[in-house]
Parts: sequence; structure tokens; C-alpha cells
Amino acid sequence: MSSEYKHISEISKHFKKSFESLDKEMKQRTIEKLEEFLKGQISGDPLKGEYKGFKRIRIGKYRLIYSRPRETAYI
Amino acid sequence: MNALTASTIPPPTPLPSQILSGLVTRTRLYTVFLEFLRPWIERVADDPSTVENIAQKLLGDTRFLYLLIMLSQDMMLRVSEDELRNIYKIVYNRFREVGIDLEDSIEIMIEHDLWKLRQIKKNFNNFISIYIDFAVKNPEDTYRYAVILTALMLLLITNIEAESREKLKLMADEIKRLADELELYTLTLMMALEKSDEERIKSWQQQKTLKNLKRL
Repeated sequence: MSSEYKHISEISKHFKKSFESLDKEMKQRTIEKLEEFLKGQISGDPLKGEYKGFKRIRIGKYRLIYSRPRETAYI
Repeated sequence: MNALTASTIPPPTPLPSQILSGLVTRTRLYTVFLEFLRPWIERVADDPSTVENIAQKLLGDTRFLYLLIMLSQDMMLRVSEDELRNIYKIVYNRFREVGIDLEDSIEIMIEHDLWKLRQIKKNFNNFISIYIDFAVKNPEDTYRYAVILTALMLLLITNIEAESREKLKLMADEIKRLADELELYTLTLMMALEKSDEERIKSWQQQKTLKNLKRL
């Protein structure tokens, strides 16, 4: 990972499976959004209740959910 | 909000689109509900920014809560997915006719309503179990969820009677804001139905770089 990133990421099987099903354009948009997020340029809105540690980022009609207990972002 | 109010909200609260759909079909239950809501609808129509305060007042009224229980029963027995989709098309077109784009918000509300309807009809025990668990552990968030649903319901009803584009624009702004927050509840409840946090963390794969994704 490039040193310009502020976080390291760990990506779930669920995300990987969803990502594989996207078309080329959406994959590119998702990667761009992930890069913005990992550089610390954007952050998400917290979910509710005991899930408030998870946050939502919008990518078109899709939603990226992540949690960040320390420096690592779980996507 | 107080804990007493939260505990009296029947799980599940009705779907915003369900109410509008019922009003269009003019069944007895919805006619009574509309009569009860009439003064509140007029207030929202006059000033859409008051919708949350009005929703809070309604949720403190036992007559309203009783009607919600009836409406929840109607949801389980009668409401269909096609009906809800159609009612959102009407709302979408109503705003589009005056040049207001509500597509994103409508999609968020459809996703919420259809997902919840499916859970109630096909996965009732599991859904109610996680919903009650959520309500018991998070009464403030649960109350907020009820306020959002009630406010959206009022806005969906009121926009049909709005006479000016200016009023519709104000309503659209409120719908956008509330739908944005509604989505956080949809995602929360979806996640609660999935694996526990611990199981989820175990499923993380070590994909340390974005390069791996770019190869897919």
C-alpha cells in the first residue's frame, strides 16, 4: 500500500464477492472512493445502536460499510 | 424522548408507503387514520419544517399508537411489494413533474420498506427478535427511528395536496434529510440480522492492497 494512505484496510469476503459482481465502471468508482477514504479525504456516517462503530459511505447506488477499531479499516 | 414512549411503540412500526397506499385504496381503516391525521397534515402542509415536531407529538398520543397497531396488522395481512413500488412511483412522478429529483431518497425508502416487509412476512421470528433486542438496548435510537418513519409518512401524504412548487421543494428537502438517516437504520437492522460482530471480524480477508481489487 502506498505511504500516502492514512489507514490500512482489511477487506471482507462479503465485500470481495460484491465487488466481483460489479461492472467495470462501478469497480473503478469503488476503487476511487476507497482511495479517497484510505487517504483520509472522506469518512462515513455512523450506523445506529450497537452498530455505531460501523460507518456508511455512498458509492452511487451502492453502500460501503466499514469499521475502524484502530488504524485498520475493515471494509 | 422518554423510555416509556419508546416502549409503547409497537414493533414493527408501519411503512411510510403503506399508509399512502392505503389512503389511495380508501379502506375504512385508512379513512379513519386520515381523519385523525387531518389537522396534523394541514400543519405540515403549511410548514414542512415542523414535521419532526409533529411526528413526536403523534408518537406521544395513545390514539395514534393504537391506530399504528391496527396498521401493523394490516401490513402483515394485506400489503404487497408491488403496491408499495407503485405508490413510490406516484410520489416520484409528483416531484419530477415540477423538476424536483427525489430518485435517491425514493430508492432508499423503497429499499427500507420492501426489505422490512419481506422480513415481516417471511422471516418474522428472526426479524422481531433482533428488532426487540435493538429497541431494548437502544431506546433513544428506536424512538428516533419511529419519528423518522412517522415524519416520512406525513410528508408522503402531504405532498399529494401541496399546491405550489415552493412547498414541494421544502417537503423534498425534508424527505431527503430524513431518508438519508432512514438508510442508516435499514443498514443497521440488516447487519443485525447477519452474523454477529465476532463472526464478521473472523471473515475479514487479508487484502492489504487495492492492487488485489484492481485485478478482479
